[in-house]
Amino acid sequence: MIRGPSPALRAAMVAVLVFLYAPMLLLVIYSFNDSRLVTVWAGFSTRWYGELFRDQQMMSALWVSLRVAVMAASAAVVLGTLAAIALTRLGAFRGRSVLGMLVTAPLLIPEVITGLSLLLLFVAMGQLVGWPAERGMLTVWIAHVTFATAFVTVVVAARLAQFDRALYEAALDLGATPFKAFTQVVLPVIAPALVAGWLLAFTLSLDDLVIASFTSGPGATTLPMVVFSSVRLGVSPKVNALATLLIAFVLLAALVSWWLLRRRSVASAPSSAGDMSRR
Amino acid sequence: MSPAQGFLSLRALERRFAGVAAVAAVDLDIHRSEVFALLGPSGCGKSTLLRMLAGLEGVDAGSIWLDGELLDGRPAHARPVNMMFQAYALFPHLSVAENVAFGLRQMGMKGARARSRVQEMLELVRMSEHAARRPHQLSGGQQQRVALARSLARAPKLLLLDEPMAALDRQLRVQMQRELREILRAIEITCVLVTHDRDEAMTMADRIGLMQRGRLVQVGTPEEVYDRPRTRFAAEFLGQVNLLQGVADAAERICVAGRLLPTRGAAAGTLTTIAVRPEDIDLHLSSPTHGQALEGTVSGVDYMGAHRVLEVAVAGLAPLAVIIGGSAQKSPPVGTRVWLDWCAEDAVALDPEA
Ligand SMILES: Nc1ncnc2c1ncn2[C@@H]1O[C@H](COP(=O)(O)OP(=O)(O)OP(=O)(O)O)[C@@H](O)[C@H]1O
Ligand SMILES: [Mg+2]
Repeated sequence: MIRGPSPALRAAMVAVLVFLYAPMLLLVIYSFNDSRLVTVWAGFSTRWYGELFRDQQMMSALWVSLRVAVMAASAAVVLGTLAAIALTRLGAFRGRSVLGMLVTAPLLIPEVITGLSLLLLFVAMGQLVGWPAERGMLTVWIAHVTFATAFVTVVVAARLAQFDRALYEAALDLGATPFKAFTQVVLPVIAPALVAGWLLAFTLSLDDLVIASFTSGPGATTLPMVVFSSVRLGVSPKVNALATLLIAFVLLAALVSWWLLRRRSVASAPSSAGDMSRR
Repeated sequence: MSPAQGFLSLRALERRFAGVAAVAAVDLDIHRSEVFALLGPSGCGKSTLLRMLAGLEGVDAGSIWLDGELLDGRPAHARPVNMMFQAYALFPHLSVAENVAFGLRQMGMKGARARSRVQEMLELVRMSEHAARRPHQLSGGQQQRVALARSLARAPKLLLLDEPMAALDRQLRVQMQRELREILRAIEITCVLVTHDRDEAMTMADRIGLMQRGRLVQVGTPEEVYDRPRTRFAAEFLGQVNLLQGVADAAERICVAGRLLPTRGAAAGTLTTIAVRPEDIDLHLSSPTHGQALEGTVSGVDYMGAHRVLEVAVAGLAPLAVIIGGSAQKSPPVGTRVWLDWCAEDAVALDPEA
């Protein structure tokens, strides 16, 4: 007999959800507050959204962040997919498990350390080979690619591990060269994982403050950096409005990637019971 | 120019995994339009051999010739060979028609010609009305037909089938065996199929190659392998069999339990094992006039519908199985004294196994 959770468990669950989402809910509510004072409710208004869009500094930071995020996510998908293929498809080779650990370790390394080490690298390279000459969007982009690649690798490798190798062999058998078998069969089948990986990399990049602070230069201030520094001068309701927009956007991206992964795994479940396990 | 005799010729083929031979010393000639079954127990190397033909598995030694051409070293995508995979391996992101068209597209066949070829193939397997569906929307039997159509679309010189019926339930299997056999005969394609089901091999194939531990141990028509097994393994793998041991004399008789019984192919003066199928044993209710029959007692009767299997205990021997026909022959009850013999044709002397 299946019973629902006990009342105590229910209460605990509600408590956790309140703990997780109450601050965000508060932020969303206050973004529609008419008052300049964050703690005093003075009626509903969208004036802070209007002010936000007129704020040159914030808008240019948003533009920088979006460009960095799109480029970093795209590069991370390419590199992460290649790494995932190396990890899962090449069969057993010496040092494979070490490579797997090395590729995914950035997930566990504190961001402060990643940021600091990248900064040192950029400075050292700038002195030795003259490139990158100065820190800016390029260095932030490189930094974001390095850590986003690790996440994409994990997502794509998980999908590839379930990939039925017989599909790839069937493509070869039907006259496709290894390259065409990859682009016409493997890629389309794992495409949802690539999209999910891209969205993950995109939101991670958009959200990053620590690594960007280390690796960015004067000309390239990202949105989280602007928000963080403006909050130190006192919370402006404008920031609430911005945060609300970001929450909505990230939520949407997460939903889309979850839906894509789920839909494809449901669709391919009955036909993919091949002899992958033998390889 | 080629040393080949068959349409498909395998010469001294070998494949090793970590030093262990999965396929060893395989020599085989297969005729044009022949349906050939590789039969053997799990792990004997059937799939490995099939994959070597497809170019999906490496070859450690030996050669493969197809229609006068040497296939060695040619990658899978450049061989005029197509394979139907065990779990079908239909592309989940493509429709039925696109699956069938996949191989045509790789040859550069497009447009109306490709469409009509796809249509022709789908009609052959009676799947035209499902052309727009995705593989996961099809039943197991329908998926199999699509897989067959896809592997025939390029008109390969050689078709490979890996356990074609393994994913189907029993009833559907018998029906699909018949359908598949008819299609293969109709298009006169040369085909090598892999199975561990002896009934499937016997109903589908013109000839059977029996495999044991990576080696081909016997090749012949289903009747040949069933009626004249060369080894104990072959005799037992192809069906129920009685094995009897004795010393043969110069007149093709073998001494079993004190009686001289007829046999065939036994060398005089050697200890020989003979194989007699249960349905080839003649059962008598009184001692035959020649006096040379095994005398025993019925110790069990199994009703199997169309026939009955009797177990007969003979002093000094393991119990023998005897099959008798349906209503025509009344079954003697347990405890009846019976005499058993057979004609020389039906008692095959086996090779001593290595
Ligand atoms: N890629 C591989 N690496 C190592 N060993 C392998 C590999 N492929 C097959 N083998 C081994 O080779 C032997 C033959 O395998 P194969 O798959 O050809 O058997 P099979 O006759 O098809 O059996 P089944 O009826 O179970 O499919 C087995 O012992 C198997 O473990
Ligand atoms: Mg097999």
